[in-house]
Amino acid sequence: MGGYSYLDNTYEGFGSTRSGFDSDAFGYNNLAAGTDYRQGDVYSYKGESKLISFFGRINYSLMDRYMVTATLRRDGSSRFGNNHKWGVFPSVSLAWRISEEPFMASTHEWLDNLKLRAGFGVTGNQNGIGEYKSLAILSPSGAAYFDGTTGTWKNAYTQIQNPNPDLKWESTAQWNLGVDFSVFNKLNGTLELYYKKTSDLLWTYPVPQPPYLVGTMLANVGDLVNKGFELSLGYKAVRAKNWTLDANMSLAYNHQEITKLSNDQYQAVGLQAGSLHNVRGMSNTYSQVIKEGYPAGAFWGPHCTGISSDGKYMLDKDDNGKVKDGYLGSAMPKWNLGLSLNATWRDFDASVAAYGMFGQKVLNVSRMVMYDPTRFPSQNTLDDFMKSGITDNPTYSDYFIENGDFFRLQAITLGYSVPLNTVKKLGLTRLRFYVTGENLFCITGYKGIDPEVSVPDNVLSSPGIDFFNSYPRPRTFSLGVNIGF
Amino acid sequence: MKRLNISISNILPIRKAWLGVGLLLALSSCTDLNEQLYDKVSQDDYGKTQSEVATIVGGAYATLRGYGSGTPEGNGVNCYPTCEYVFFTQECSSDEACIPTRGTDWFDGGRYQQYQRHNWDANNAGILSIWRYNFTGVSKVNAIIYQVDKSGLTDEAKNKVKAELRGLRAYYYYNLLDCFGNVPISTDFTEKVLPTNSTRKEVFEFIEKELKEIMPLLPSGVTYGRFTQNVANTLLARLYLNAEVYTGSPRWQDCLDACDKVQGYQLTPNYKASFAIQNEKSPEIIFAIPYDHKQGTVGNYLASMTYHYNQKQAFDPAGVYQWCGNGICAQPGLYSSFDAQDVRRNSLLIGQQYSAKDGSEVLMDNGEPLNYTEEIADFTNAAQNAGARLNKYEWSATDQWERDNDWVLMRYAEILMMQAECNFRLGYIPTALTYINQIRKRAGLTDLTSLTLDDIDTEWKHEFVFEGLRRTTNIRFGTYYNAWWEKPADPADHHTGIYPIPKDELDKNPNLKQNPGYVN
Repeated sequence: MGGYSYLDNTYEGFGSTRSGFDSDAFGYNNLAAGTDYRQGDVYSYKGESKLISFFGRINYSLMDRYMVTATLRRDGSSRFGNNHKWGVFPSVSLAWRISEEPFMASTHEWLDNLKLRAGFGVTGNQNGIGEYKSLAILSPSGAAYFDGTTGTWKNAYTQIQNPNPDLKWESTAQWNLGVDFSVFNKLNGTLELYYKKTSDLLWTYPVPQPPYLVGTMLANVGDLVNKGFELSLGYKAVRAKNWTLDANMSLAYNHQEITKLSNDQYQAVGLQAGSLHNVRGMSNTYSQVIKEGYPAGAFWGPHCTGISSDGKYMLDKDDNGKVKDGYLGSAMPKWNLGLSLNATWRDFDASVAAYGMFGQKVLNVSRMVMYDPTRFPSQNTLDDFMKSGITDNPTYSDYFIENGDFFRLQAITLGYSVPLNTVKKLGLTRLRFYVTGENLFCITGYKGIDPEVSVPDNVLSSPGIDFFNSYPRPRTFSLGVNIGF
Repeated sequence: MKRLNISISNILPIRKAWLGVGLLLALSSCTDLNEQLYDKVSQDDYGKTQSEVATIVGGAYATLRGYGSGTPEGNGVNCYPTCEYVFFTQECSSDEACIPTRGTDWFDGGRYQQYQRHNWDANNAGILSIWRYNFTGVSKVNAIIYQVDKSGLTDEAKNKVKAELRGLRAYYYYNLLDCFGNVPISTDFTEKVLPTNSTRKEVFEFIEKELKEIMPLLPSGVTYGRFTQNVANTLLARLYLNAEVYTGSPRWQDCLDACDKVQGYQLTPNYKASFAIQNEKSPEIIFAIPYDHKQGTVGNYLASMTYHYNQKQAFDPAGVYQWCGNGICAQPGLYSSFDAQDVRRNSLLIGQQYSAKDGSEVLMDNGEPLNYTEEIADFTNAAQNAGARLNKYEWSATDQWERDNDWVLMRYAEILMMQAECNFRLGYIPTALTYINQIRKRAGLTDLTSLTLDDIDTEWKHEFVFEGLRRTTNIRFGTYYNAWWEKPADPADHHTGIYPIPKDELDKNPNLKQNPGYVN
């Protein structure tokens, strides 16, 4: 099988705004009636990107036992530098259904399926970087100037970015080895080991000034490795006349490490990340680093050994008495666990789903902000802050980095389906009543509202920071009816 | 197939997608991935005509306004010459201004306290913003010079345009010379080798050579907001005035010669005229950064950084004046150092504030009267009304967040003061007196009949209060290293006379060396 795809994404828009109206009579229908003329009152924009792919796939199966799938893609993106627009991304996977081998005939009574799989594949990524980053371009934004000769303001166009003509595809190469099995028609499962290496990570990288125009440049900056396993098991516990019970679980372990940052200089210090600029009194404070040998979302800062008798944070210091920064744990979870149960009894059905994540740290910024001796009594503060005796200004340290481990009951559903013959009399094909409760409880030692802090699309974008602006997950109860016509 | 994500909201989205199955021939249009520009222009395709070149060169003047923290240039740090980097950092390092910590406000990792106490480190964000502002200016000017070179202008026209650009670059380098001393000299936009530091003396010589080379090519006469011969001579005079600090050798006579060439300006009878909202009309201003919020200019909000939160009631009968953050103020002792009849004392705001609506006393949120005091009892936990406020630039009840006063960088009074100081230092005291007395007369003061260095220092302090010159003046007079108010005497090596190279830049460029006396 072979194919070609062509995707052209063009976006454009315009707008106008005006203020200084003498009357509200016109609404937006007569913008010219406004008297306050400003730069930027009228604007329009347009941009375009293209993504072109050639791809092919070959499946081959020999005697239903030996299977090979190979794919080859050649992807082109307009977003990259002139000589780097195209990338070639192959993959191959092999499978062996051991259970179908003649020598396994004696096991057919209990072994339904046993399959060994191995694969290697490379995929490319060009998402989230925007257009035109490889080009030297001028834009008029915010660059008017006063021409003293004529006494008027005029437009100016300035260079807006460091062009990166070498910008290229980020790619991820993955090796995996897996086993699928099913026994006694009751228990099935999959175990998969993987090793995934992302190369040429796309990231906005700091560059020195001089010689560069501005201090950052979009670039391919380094390598990131993820390795681990995923195990999933399904068990058909009961298959009786009136009732059934199924249990499923999944367990995954992941280890992540940044193995390379492209500038040698950063091996020692790392790139600052996890900005706390918006926190009162913490302009220019960072909570994380991107650094070789550590995962993404690595918290970095001083270790707090306790609170002194006069209410100050005691931070680890070096021999010169300077506060020492170090690794304080990662925001990336190590373990993921998922559980679900599904049961039916006559016309009733029930299901329970739960999941948990373990091994990750969360920076509780909300708490750090509330630990502020100047808030009381005019603003709310925390009860345990009042008891802590802290008199220091809010200070970033691992005092506010907590274990983010949690186990959450995601949903419980109970349902009743009206028997089919009754339903048919009503002219329907299905009628089910149900009640669902979501997020009924969450077991965690985390002191904030919710340990499950959203993870950004780009893993380097500072995960694991609980700012005080996230909307907490609600606990919901719903009643419902499914009707099929 | 993944859909591309576009971050800008689409007002009129037009999306076309064709998905073809079956291997197509590689027709050229089917594999064309060239990026088509619509609302921007490519550097290489622009600058062919005279009017296009004018828009590029204008961009060099636009760089003088600096950059917000949310722009690629600022990248997390506000770099405005009207506020953060000059006023919060340099003025607060001088004996003129300070930003006391008021509760949790204005602590920010202790950086404002560091300016006052001269114990900053290389991580200080204000110091980084000095670097970013000036080196972004240098880099942008270099890029513009590169474009002018590629343009369709004649060589003669190119050289004239480039003279102004080189002048702006020399201005940025003067700031760098003054603040960091040993900085890399970068003049070629295409050169991407990581540079190393030049010595402070080399930077001095570079600026001097550039200004002398471009002088005959620059516009003569008075043109507002433009880098003219007058501006270049004022900058050259500043360079020579501080030459002993920068190179070890004084150049007083050279300073006087440069001052003599500055022609076409006069002191305005009213001191405040140069700081009015319409100050572009002042015949005293030699060089300024023009602002007009209707033209989208940003960064001009120092006024909001000094007044108390409730100052709006005193400024605006409707009580809705722009938000003010109650930060930077005068150091104790500055206000009382002025004579009562000195009109320049009004550059500071002190005392009880009264409602513009009904004349009643304005109160602070704690119910106490808003009465600015000269004294600041506790620098690290100051009362909200402690410290006299910066009140130099004219305000109006209808001010926008972005103010419209043009920012004065050089004015004629500075020429007169340089002439007074250099004549004094060369021993021509009667001549020095004629210059300094012109300044004093306008301020409403009596003539001096004898002169000391201290008198000259005080006149600099009063005439240019809150204009961003004080740190340089303190260093030239040596007072910078003395103990004062909240500051112990500086270390004997006087390494604090220049700032450390920002750690952020040392991390990015291994060829850069830290300034003496600082650890990385």
